[in-house]
Amino acid sequence: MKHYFSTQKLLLFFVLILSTTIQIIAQDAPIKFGKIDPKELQSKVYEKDSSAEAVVLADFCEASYSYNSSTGSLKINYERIRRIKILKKSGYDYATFTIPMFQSKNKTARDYVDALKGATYNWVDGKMVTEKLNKEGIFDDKKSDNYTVKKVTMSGVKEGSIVEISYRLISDFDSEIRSWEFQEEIPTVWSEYRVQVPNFYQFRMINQGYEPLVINEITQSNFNLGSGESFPGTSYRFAVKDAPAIKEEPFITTIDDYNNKIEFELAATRFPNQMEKYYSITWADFGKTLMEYERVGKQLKSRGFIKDIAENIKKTAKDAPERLAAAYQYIQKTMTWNDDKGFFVTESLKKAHEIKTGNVADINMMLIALLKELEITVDPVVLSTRSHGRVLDSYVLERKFNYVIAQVTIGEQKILLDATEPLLKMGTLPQRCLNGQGRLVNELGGEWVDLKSTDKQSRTVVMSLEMDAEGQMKGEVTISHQGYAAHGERGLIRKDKKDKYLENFKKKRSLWNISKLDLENINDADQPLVTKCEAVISETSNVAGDRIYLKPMLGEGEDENPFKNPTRNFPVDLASPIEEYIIGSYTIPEGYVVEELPKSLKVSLPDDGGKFTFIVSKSEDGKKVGITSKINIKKTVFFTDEYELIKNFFDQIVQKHAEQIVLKKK
Amino acid sequence: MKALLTFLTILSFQVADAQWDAAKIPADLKEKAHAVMRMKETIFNVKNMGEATQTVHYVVTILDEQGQDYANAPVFYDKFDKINDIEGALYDAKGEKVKRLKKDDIKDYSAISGFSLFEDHRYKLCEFKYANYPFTVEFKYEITTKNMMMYPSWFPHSDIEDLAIEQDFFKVTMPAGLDMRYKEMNGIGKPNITDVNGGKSYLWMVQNVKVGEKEPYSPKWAKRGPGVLTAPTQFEVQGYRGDMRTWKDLGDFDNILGENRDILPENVKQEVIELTKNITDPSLKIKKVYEYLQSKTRYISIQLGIGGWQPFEAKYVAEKGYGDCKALSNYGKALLKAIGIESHYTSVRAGDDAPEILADFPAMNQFNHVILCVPMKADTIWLECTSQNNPFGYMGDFTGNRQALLATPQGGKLVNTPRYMSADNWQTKRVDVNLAEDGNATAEAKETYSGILQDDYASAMEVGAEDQKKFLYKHINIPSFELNQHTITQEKLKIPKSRVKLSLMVRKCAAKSGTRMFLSPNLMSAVSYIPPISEKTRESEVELINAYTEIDTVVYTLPKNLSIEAQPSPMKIETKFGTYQSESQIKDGKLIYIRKFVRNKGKFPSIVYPELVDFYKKISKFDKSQVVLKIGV
Repeated sequence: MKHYFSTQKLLLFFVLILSTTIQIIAQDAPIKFGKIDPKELQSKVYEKDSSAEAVVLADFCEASYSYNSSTGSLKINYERIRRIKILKKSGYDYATFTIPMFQSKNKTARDYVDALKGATYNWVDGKMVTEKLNKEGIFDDKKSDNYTVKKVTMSGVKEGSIVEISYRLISDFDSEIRSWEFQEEIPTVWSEYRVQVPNFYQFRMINQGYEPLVINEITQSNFNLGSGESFPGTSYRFAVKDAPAIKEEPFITTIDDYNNKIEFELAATRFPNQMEKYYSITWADFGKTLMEYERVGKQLKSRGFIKDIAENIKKTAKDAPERLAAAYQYIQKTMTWNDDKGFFVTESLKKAHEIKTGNVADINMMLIALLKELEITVDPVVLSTRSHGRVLDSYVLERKFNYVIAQVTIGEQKILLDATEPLLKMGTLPQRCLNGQGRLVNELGGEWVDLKSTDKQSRTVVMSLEMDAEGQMKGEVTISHQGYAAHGERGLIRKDKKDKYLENFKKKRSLWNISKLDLENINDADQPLVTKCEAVISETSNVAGDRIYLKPMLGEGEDENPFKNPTRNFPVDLASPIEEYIIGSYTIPEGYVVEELPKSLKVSLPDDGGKFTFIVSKSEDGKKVGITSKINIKKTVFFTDEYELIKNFFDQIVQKHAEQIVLKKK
Repeated sequence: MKALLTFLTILSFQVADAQWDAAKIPADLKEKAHAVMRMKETIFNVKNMGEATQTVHYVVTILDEQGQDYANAPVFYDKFDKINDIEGALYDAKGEKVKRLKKDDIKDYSAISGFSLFEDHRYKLCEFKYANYPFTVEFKYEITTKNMMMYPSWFPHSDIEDLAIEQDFFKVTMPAGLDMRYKEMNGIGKPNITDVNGGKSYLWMVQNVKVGEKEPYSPKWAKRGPGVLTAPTQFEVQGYRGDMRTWKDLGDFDNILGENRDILPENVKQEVIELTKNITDPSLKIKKVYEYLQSKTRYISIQLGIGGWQPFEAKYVAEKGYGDCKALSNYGKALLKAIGIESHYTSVRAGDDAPEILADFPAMNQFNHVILCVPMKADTIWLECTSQNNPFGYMGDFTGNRQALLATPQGGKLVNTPRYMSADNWQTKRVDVNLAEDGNATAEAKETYSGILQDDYASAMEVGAEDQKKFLYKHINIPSFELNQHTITQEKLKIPKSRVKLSLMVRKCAAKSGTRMFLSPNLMSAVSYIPPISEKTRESEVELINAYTEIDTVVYTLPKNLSIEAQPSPMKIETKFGTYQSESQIKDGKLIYIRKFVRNKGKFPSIVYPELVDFYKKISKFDKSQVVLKIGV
């Protein structure tokens, strides 16, 4: 696997449409259906990755437009051949192909498949045996009214088989060219995408990923759209060779950010006898366009439904900060998020307000409407959540966004707001939103807004206990969660209710004898969430002869390294800074003295990225021991060449947290 | 009873007063509940042997966000079913109607299960988008079904932790001359039986049920709470007629569905004859055929109409090289028939968490999987035909330790599948650890897993090298380590064994702290899960499903200059749930740790649950005990 250093070094570029016109002769397809290399068929293993259960030998698609004179519309034809070698039984699933097909809501546009053929090739007794696909292996799984998956399964599959499918997908969605992914969960030997676009359309294109394009051609040529006439247009041709398998890993935004792919987005249409139509070419256009959409900007104009609420707030809240707080609280408490993302309001804000539920846009645009009604300066900020992948400022692409929040300006201060989470502090964004930059949109065009974490994942444990001569510790343990940690815990309480949450607390500390257990500030997002516990703890100390050995973290420290794998292919992305503070104060039993204490330690990550401090001490009279462990990780992204650093950092913490205090009878 | 029926008739859809005011719910029902079923009635009206209608009508109040799922009604159907009508209404907190269910609120989706390529199962999702809590929804739908193999079951309180119930009724009406069968579960009361037009009607109900708690280690049927299973006597489906009163009848019906479906293409027949002609031992012949089947096929599940119960023909599997459990078992049966060996198509309820077969209640829906049984003079051979890797004759905890229904030429017979006992299920670990002065260590582990304890490792063998490593990183119970080398091999015996060899670098195997090192000698087998204790009185029995034995030997070579300051004394616990023993000893300058844990199986009365918790608590504590090493004598 290659090492991936930083986002800046990613092979990401915007290819400008070339102005030179070259007449290109149609290239031969890289594979032909049924033309199998006997060597590939006989091979037992993929040499570049011996662990592969299957390998994509070739995946080739050619997309071109055709004109349908009877309907007067243009269609896109995707001609595809996909060939896979099955290496292990665990790879049998790759002998089933799936083709997603869409249908528009009003059923006027749809995808369909024709010229579908498939085959399985086996090497038997020194020659190739072909088994053709027939109808019995083809199924249309109608997932919903708008989405069907064609499933095609091959027969006669064994270890070593090559399976292959070829089809034409005809799509009425002429303004959406399908994306192409060069990389999958299994290795890919050759992946090629060709697209021919007549000049009626202008597309922008993004290429992302770490594998180089071995073919990267954009040329001008003329296409026959089926009517006999020839039209000028642009030909694209891209290929990647020997792409390794790509798999999900923990602590990343999304694997989509790292996959090799090509995407297209419509920029303009220029049909004969029609006005040219532009689709957000610049970021300024993008903002204006969004503000003109019926289910985005226009919603902010009809605010009648929320006037009463605003009037009520005005009565009690005098200045802007007070009004802001009241408005935020109102939306946060009144509206229930249905877990759907998006920046388009479902139906209308008025409707969402009636039914008290909706998607992200319903809730946050309602907040914006209410704030506008309160004469507070506020704008929508659209963004892409972490699982949805990054947004790049070099491409103006609407579908790269899937979320909207609010930015309020009061005086010099700018505050980002998301009201979907009922237990989040005002001004803190949920972690899913912490993904680079968001785009503020308004009639003036808008600007970029940093989506940095304003809060930490923070946990403080304070332990104050007294030990008896049997080694039993009796006293109080108080755990406070702040920032994202508090938000996470509050989410659990909300999901499970308080009783179950406390039960789980006990379950995690099953050997403690807990006599009292309380939760404070469950619903007050501005305060830390505090768990107070009175307990007798015996399993963390051992009495042996004259000595008592005590594990001073009492099980609350870090006992496992979260980074187990020896190497890492992608950056570690923690989303927000981490802070953990553990303080223990223990009275030792009468008649005992401290014989030995763990040594104190300070460890730092380079560039002030993080710090771990561990201090153990005893009181002057020798009756108490104190322990302080502080972990503070400020840096949130560690690139692959820094993986070893963060892994070792945690190793040292785990090691220190396992050390023990030795007490001895006088 | 009369009054009750009158109540049911009054409860019509047009009632529009504030009957469903959320404030009318008794306070004790609301406690800890996320939703309250105000009233529900499920009526299964059998017209004749081949057709019935099911009417479901309910009103549920959603108290908070966690109860939101109850605002949706999924109505499942397949080729045998016709949905005649769906109605619904939404009421606000006061019980005032907000809206009726409209066409736009109903969406249609496929309901293909995750393991299947294709099925004809679908559902209509009726959804009210509303979240002004509390609120109430009402749904009513009617389905006509022509799949009369399946009568409904009714477990009103399976969602015990979220839902409270004011009233829930279940009614089955039978026409004259046709009987139904039923079985009451987990303490539901007797039905009220009335005569209706020469036929009979059966009515069960529950009232005022509060939310409860799920209890760990409960018997599987008990987990579903009180309820009723129903089943036909005689039935008809897609032109096939059958009877279900006895297991024999049910096996006969399997035979009807499978009739003439075990005919192989001539070339395949010749191939297996050729393949086995030089083998004399019948069980070796069967093994050869099983391996042939494994090499020629793969599992693809396609369930369409009667195809959900009827196997694809053997010819089809021979041509395609794939099929589901029914098709592949039937194919296996055909292959064996070709060499003159008789075998039986066998229905089973698969899964390590499947409730046991209720032997006194023959019913088709007790089964969800098919295997093959080959009766032998000495030992019956059982074949799982859907796996390409499964050891010959091994069932594991997927289909072992339970009853299954053979379809023999003489009809159905309920028999036991192989039992995997304490002597079969075991693991041994021998670990040699070289402890360095800094507390780090290298370790060589040789592990053997037998019987059902090997199942996970056997599946890990089938995945790629990267995934195998990930599996081991997840399964090795050491806080910080690196896996330098590993192998997993399997002996495909009747009781298979998986052998795992590991070469590990263990970080901070011993915690060095000043002049001491602390070592927990139980390196890889510490118990981490302790059953939770509840403050409520336990209701259900305690069931331990499997019996097994774990034996660990860990040998530490210690660095020089170390002396032992303290070591745990030998521990032994003996209970009805099992026994535990651990001790560490010094021998020839080496520290040897030995641990033996025997877990029994069985059902125990509910009152012993705290003892089980205590047993695990003690083990957990002993597993953590440590040896203290002093540096520099």
